[in-house]
Amino acid sequence: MGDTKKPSGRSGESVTTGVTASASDTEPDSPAEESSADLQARIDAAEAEAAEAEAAAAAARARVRALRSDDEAATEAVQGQRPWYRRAPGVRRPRWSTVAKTVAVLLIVGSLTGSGIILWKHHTASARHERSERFTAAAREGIVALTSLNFNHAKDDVQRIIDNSTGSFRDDFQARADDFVKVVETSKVVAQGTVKATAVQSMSDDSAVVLVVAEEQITNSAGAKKDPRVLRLSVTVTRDGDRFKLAKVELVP
Amino acid sequence: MTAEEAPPIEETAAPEAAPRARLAGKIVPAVWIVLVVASVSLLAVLMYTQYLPDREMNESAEQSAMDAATKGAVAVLTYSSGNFDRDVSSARTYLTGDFLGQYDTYIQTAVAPVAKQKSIQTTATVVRRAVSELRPESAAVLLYINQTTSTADNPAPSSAASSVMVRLTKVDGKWLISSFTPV
Repeated sequence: MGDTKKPSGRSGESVTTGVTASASDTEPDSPAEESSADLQARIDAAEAEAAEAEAAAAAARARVRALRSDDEAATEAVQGQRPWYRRAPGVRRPRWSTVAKTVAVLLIVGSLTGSGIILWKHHTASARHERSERFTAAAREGIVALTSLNFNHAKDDVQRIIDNSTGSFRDDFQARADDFVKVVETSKVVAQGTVKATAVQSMSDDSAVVLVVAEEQITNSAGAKKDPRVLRLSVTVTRDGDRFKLAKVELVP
Repeated sequence: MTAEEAPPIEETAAPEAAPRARLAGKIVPAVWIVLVVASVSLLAVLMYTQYLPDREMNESAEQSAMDAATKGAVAVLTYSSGNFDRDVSSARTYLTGDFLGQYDTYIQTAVAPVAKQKSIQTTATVVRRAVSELRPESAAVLLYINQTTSTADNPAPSSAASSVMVRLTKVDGKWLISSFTPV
């Protein structure tokens, strides 16, 4: 803009000087000579002015061309020519502190979520482990009771077995309890059971199948003297109120 | 008095605000860094102390320990005179440590002479199995095994029931039998 104004100002100046020169020249003697010289000067000035105007127009055209090509590049970019790592036009580069904060928030939320999941899984696993230990302990206790009998206090022993049992196993045992006590007393049975090994075969929240290997040493009036007998058992333990009790005892053939 | 006192107050208040802002500009990023480091460290610690050990003690770990114990026990207790050397070398691949040595001694001194003299065939089957103990690097599996044996002298198979506590050790990510104890 400054370029176009300057030449026009200068040409205006030259025009006014031309006019004042012609005014002063008309009063002296040779007006024709003077006026031709004056005309030549005016033509020169006008030509210079035209050249300068042309140059200004060329500059303006060039600027317009430049703007158009920029615009084309922009539309090209919008139409998907822009590679993914180049920001779309008009999108400012985010401030580094914003980027850092976003990354920090993602890291914090991600790690806390991960930690939460790990803790929850660990809690579930240890609860499961604890439950399996309770089932095992109940199976062990029940089988020791079942394999330990003394004719001197047979009734108490049998009652202990019943207390450690539940469901149909308990009902069956209770029904045969009196006969059982009688046999133990008449044959003077002393049986001492010990559990040799246990392992939980399967487990749900309220029930488990526990493999129990027990050894029973039996002494009786029929001649047995601490004769050992190994029992390979499969024991079902179920929850009965707040306790775990024997629900089924099988000898595995 | 108040007009004279006012300017000094303003003068002291203005320079105080600038360090406070500068302090906040240092504290806020520090708090962010502490939070990030704390939460990532927590995750790393839990990963190392809970997640990785737990993963080696879950149901699928139990299953793989039981499978290894079963396969190994069956391999150890199943052999026939006709195929004796191959049966033994196959069984050895399931064993490790002291038990491998004990097995070799037992086979060479007690079983091989009999197996090569008479025609003997034993077959073991696992009827029940359960994990008794499971740690990331060791396990104990209780097996109820039935074994049938027939010899040239006594072709009618005789069967024996036993229960065995098989202890396993993880070697290069694979369960191998390190002890084999009849209960």
